[in-house]
Amino acid sequence: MSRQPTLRDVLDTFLTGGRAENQSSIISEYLESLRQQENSPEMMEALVRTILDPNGVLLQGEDKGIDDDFLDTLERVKISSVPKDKCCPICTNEFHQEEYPLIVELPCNSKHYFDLDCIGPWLKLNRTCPLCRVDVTQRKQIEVSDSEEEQDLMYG
Amino acid sequence: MSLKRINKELSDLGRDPPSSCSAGPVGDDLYHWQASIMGPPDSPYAGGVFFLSIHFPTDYPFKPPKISFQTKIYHPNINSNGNICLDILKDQWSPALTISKVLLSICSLLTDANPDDPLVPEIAHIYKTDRAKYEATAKEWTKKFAI
Repeated sequence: MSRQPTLRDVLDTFLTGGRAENQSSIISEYLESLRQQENSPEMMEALVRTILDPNGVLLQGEDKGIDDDFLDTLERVKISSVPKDKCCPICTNEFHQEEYPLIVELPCNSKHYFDLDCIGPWLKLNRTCPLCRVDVTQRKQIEVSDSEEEQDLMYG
Repeated sequence: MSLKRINKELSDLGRDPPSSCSAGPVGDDLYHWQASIMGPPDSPYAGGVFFLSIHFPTDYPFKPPKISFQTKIYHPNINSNGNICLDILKDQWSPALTISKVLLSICSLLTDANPDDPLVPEIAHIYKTDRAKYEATAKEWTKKFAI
């Protein structure tokens, strides 16, 4: 680009769904051009800053996590049905070593066990299973496609 | 939570160290580590030892660690500040990942660069259009900065 990018250019890259790197680079260029102007509109710079983190990476929207109510719908798992040396993938402690284990399974896989205290804060940030990245709110779709569960239903 | 998990990773690394990398705290601050990885034998970085700095956020493992190269390296996904373009360090982070797994991913990035998602477009261009030149420069930088 021969001329300095304008705010219009910055917005255009978002509206046309450009690649994240291109968006980052045009925003960097735009910020640089703002700095070169003598009466740099600081508020505009602050505004643009809100969509980039200090590394120049686009910040994700804040609506990626689950609602608080969702945690209450997760299946509880009895410690007696958890294999002896199984660990919570997040804190990496053995479930059986815990004094008062409160274990849940995620809807994506009946063996994806987590401490409720560990998976809660994660799901509030991100609605994916830490082990398989499946969206945990897409419960129904997955149950239908899971042949293991179909068998359980048939012979269960 | 974060400190306990970091301590656990440290003891796991001591018990079962990965073959091509090492990592541990720099001083008393458990949130600041240094790591080293050996250049993979099947890459132009072979023979080099690359140092990285690791900063754990206080909400680790819910947020990814900040990892950067301290040793200069010629690679399409690593820039002159040592910043690494790797999805699992950004939006593909998972709290089930550990430093050991992340370092192994960085090793594979050294073997298989990702020129379609470059951090240094010039190097990515050379990587795609003149692989021999890329490998020669990467070897030269390895010799100069990492051996």
